[in-house]
Amino acid sequence: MEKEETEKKETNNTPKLKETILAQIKNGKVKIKSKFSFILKDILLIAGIIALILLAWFILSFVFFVLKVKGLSFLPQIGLIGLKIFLINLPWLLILIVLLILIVLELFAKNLAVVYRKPLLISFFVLFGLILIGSLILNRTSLHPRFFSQSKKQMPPPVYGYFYRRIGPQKPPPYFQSFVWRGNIKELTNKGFILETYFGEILEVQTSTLKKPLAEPLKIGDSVAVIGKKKGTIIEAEKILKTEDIFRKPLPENKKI
Amino acid sequence: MKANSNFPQKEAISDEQIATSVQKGNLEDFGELVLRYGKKIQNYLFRFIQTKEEVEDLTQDIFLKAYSNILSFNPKKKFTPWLYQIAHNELVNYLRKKHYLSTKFINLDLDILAAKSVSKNDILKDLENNLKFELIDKNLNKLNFKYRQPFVLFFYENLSYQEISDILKIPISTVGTRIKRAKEIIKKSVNNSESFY
Repeated sequence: MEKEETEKKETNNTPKLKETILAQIKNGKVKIKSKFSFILKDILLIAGIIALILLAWFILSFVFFVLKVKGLSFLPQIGLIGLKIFLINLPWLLILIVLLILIVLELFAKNLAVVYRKPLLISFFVLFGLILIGSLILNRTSLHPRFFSQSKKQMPPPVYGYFYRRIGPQKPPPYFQSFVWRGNIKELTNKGFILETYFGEILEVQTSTLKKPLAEPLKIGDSVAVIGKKKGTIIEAEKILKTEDIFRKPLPENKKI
Repeated sequence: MKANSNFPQKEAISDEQIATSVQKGNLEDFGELVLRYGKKIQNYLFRFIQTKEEVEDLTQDIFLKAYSNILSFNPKKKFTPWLYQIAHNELVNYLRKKHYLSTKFINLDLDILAAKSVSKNDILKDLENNLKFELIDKNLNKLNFKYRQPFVLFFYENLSYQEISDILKIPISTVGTRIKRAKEIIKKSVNNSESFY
């Protein structure tokens, strides 16, 4: 049996339909929308997508910057307890905002054939990868350090200066303070080096007690996290991790974001 | 707005050429598109809505919308999927207004998240070998909207997976999965009714 035979018979009224529709158009019920309105809609969609991507890049790179400034990014390297403290100290609000942007971005981008033709998981991970890579690249620029230093000089960039003023190096939690010390190498000695912690303490670090030899030699000014046993002002180092420190001098405030 | 048609012998003229003529302001040519697609669109709507009056009103709305948006049609592409996209959007809006469809903001169906692609030829061959068209018609109401939409566009309107993907704005692989699932539901329903008698 042909498909046509199964189609509904009661609908053979197209000449009448044609007359009705043309009459309504002639009466001015509808007008042709200008081509510009469609172009504008497309431009707004693309602009919205670009704006969301830029915003996500900025916020996620700011998350990386916060971790750098807090100096806690080395924590996952000291085992499960380090990982736990690292996770607790992540700026979750900012991460949540990035996730929300990602969802809105997916909804916007779903209007583009290149996005909706692919399964949601693929498009989501492609967008996530795009945001992650972009923010890592942005993190390597001087954008956030510049804004940060401007905010310290009371010349904050508009709106987000508030966030920059709230961040600074964070003291490890009390449990860590008994075996982790962070700071800059002030002087190299025969037994190791002199460490000036971010909070002004001067300590002598002995490297002969290291469990593994250092991968690369240390030099004055290096920013490090020392794990070991403290006896008076001497630390018998078991592990030394080079950490990223973009601000050599300790900052007076110890605020969380 | 010009009143006379540009095409005295319309049979040989493509839909795309007529749509281009409408874009240039030839209103009567839009009438030709209504003649060509009026019945098709009504039959399409009848597969989702049962009332004749509702179908007729919605068909009018669809063509008026198509006329209003005619400048968004790209003559380099096919006219049929463009018109069905408008029909689909109007149908969804109508069903939502009548609360026949939920107004979910985000669709997180598993087959949207990730779906295996299913061959179009396999589905057609299987359907034609195993099911009669009138049986498919009778059992169409067993399909919920998410399966019925791609199935109707594929089986009755002869649109390709990619065209259906563009109309419904879902992944191409999901189109295949949903059509396959629709076919399974119909087959099961036909088998059940046959064993009953």
